[in-house]
Amino acid sequence: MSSFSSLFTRRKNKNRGRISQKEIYDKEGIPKHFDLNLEKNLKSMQELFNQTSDYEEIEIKIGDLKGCVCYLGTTLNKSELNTHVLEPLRAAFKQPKTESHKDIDYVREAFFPAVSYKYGETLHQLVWQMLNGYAIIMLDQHNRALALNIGGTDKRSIEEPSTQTIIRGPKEGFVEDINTNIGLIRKKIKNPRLVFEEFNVGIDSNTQLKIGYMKGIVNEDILSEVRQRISKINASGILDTGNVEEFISDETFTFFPLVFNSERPDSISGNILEGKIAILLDGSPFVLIVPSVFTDFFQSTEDYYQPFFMTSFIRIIRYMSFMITLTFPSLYVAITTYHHELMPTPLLINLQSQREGVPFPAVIEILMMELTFEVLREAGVRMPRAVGQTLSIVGALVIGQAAVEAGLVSNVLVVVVAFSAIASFVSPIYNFSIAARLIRFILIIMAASLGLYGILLLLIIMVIHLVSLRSFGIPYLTPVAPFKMKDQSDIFIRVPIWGDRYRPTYLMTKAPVKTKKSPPPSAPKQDSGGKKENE
Amino acid sequence: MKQQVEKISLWQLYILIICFQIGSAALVGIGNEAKQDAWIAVIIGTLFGIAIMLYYLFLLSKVPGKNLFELFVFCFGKWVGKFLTLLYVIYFFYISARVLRDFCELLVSTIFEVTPLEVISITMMLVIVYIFQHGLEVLGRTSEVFFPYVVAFIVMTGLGIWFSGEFEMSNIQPILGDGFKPVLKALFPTMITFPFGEAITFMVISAYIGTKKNIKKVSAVGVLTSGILLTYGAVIQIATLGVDVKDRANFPLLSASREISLLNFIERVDLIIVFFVMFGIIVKVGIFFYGGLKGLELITNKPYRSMTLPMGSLIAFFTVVISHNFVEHIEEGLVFVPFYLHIPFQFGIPLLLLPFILWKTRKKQKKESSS
Amino acid sequence: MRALMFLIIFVLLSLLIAQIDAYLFKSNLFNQLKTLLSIDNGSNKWMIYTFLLIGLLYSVGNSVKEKLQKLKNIGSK
Repeated sequence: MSSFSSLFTRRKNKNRGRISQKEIYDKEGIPKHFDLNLEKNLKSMQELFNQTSDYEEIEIKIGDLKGCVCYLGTTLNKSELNTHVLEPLRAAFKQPKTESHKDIDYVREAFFPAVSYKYGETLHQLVWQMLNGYAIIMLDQHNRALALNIGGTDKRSIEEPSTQTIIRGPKEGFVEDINTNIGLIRKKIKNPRLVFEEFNVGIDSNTQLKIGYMKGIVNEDILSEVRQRISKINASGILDTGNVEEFISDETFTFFPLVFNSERPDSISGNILEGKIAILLDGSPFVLIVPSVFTDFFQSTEDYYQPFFMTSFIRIIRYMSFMITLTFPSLYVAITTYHHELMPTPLLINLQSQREGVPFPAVIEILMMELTFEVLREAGVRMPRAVGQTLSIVGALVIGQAAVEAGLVSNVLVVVVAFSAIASFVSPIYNFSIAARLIRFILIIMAASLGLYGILLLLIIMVIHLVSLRSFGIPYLTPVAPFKMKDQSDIFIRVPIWGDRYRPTYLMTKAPVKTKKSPPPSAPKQDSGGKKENE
Repeated sequence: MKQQVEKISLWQLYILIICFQIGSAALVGIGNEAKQDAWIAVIIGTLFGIAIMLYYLFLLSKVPGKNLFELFVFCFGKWVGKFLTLLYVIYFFYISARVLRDFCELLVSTIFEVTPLEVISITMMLVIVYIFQHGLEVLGRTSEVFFPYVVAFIVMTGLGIWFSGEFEMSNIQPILGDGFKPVLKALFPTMITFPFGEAITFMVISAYIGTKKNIKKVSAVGVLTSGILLTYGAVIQIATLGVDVKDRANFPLLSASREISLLNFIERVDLIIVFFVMFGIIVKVGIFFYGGLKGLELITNKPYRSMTLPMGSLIAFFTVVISHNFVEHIEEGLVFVPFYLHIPFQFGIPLLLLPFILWKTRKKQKKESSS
Repeated sequence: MRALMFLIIFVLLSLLIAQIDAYLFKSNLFNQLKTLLSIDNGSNKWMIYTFLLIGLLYSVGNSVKEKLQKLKNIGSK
């Protein structure tokens, strides 16, 4: 018995967090078969499960054979179990004994014809299957056991994603169950070339991870790199794709996210069709997309559903608001502290009169306000919903009116801080606004010490850092630097979708051309008589 | 992961050339001896600049894949080559310290009157050291990001002055009033060596370009574009300020941009100009710094990335130490540097290279044709 | 090796600049060299001397690290 548990401990060293059903060897490299004696097998199963309370056994008899149905009650749907497994077995009990019942294949074909099944030959396999919602039927004096796929525990129903909202477009969002998520993607891309590969991550949690891509479009080098990085994931438990993200990013010491994530199937499907790779994790509604570059974080799927003039304008606003949120507070500090001449005189006089009664220098004012705002923002997320409404009013009062009237901060400052805070949420991906927030603090300090020169130095350093980042080998600021003319059609402006014929060149896809060249859509031609030609 | 060897693309080379030439030339004011014909001097200087650049590229094309210092070793043998490399390293570091000093003087005299020069010199060198810790392609890509804004700003300065109504085209006349002699005086030796002769540093970079096909064309167009921008700058300066002020002003472009006054709102924008020149300075100092580092790499056989910080600290030191005040700095630049430093290093030694290269490559060709 | 190059370049550049100053001010080289390298009262030269020291320590540290690695490599072989 102890050799079975030692099977589990050795797994940690050998497979480094990745166990799959194909690799179940003991120390000699031979799979451990289970015994032919039913009693012994049941006893070892109970040992393996450490006498957990949801392990259930039902003894059965098929003809002459003694057998047992084992399952974990919490991993499958009891009513399904009843209909598919227990009912046929009850019928089997009443049947006369025949010789053919000695064969487990016959048992399966006779009693469980419509259930998906697997055979298990080692106890390790059976344990793994039971954890995944299978019911095991073990018969005495047989060296194989039948595992029937029951599954089907409760899951959340598909609802609108809470974090990435749009005005126009599909409102479905991913849920925690990985199979439902794959189903949502398959609804959008009905193509047999959409392939999903399965992995197991987490040494103790054994979570299922799947990568999805379009075979024939995706670049094979990037794909093999993704596979390699996933196999190197070494953690006790992987509970969310955020954990996966930290493992597969090129560089972790950076503010900027190197992996795109989304809760929306249309976003993920669009990216898969461009030639990127999706990473789904069982239990997380956020799906990752690799490789991602800087400009991906400023795109929202709604951009493609609204008219292209409007979305080009909004894209430019997004980039501008990123710059605003970065530099606005620090510009305020620099200009009011060092470079008074840059402001037009009436505004300058206004500003100074407002700052008359404020005891703090501009830097301290701003830092105080920014910190207050960060605290408010974080508290707003964590607050239970009941209390949230009242507290938001209090927050507005505290920051807005009272602080100004108490003479702690000036009016202009509230405008500056509030505007830059709102501007930070324009990026559709939450990770990105965190980068802007953090860099903003550093910029404020640089502005206070070296003025406008300090701001510009830090911006140059930030650009240098961005330029040296790579996401799976692709420079992070593609296609701005290195400048690729062909990819410019989707960055700052969006060309209409009938003009968007090429996949991004930096992905080095195998199918760079999306559609054949066709003239833009136009109305049917009318001749001079006014009669419409219907052809 | 795919290891990227340092390569810059042709477009990045073009941008680097422009930012490099504009770097300090747009600011300091060139062609002053020619008075109101300075812009003509710049145009002719551009033509000379293109010729110089093509000559350097011709030398490089004979021995493909090698940079300037490897060329020395190739022509003159190991020890003489290394000695020449050391001389060039000193030269490049000295020039980068000079350029950085120009910029520090600019900041200290216009904006940060109380800040010590050392602070600016150290912070700029820290940024440049950071760039080269990551390699040359980072410089290329960073300049790709900033390039549109730098050029747009220079153009908009001119437009801004025009819309403010400060242009007096009569300042440019009489065209060639004193004949060609002032123009020629401006050209030799100052204009040819600064900024056009400094293209010798591109001999170090040209070896690291991704596609070698159109280097000559792209470099020539780059020099031409920078010449056009410089002429544009010279015209603005002369037209706005008049010849005398331009001659005497330390930073004519800055003084010209002070005249911008639009809508009662946009005023005193010389501050912003400074910061766009800052980027050109970073490119210029960076490229000279890189030239020196590559030379050191040849002498010591060690990768240059380990030497960035020490050499950076050296340059920061010498930026401050080079002269005691701005006047001395300018005087050195006009009297000593062109004759004793620029001419031998930019023209003397490369001209000396020519017969050696021809001889050695002809020997190789003969060997190849005979074998 | 690196620290050596550092010192060589330092010396050569100082000599060059001192020579230029000597030429301009028509005094001799040694005086100019002294003025160049001195830290006057109230000036801020100590900042760049500190930075220079940091650079020197960095290059020395790098050389030492490399020598240690070489020794380790030879030792392990």
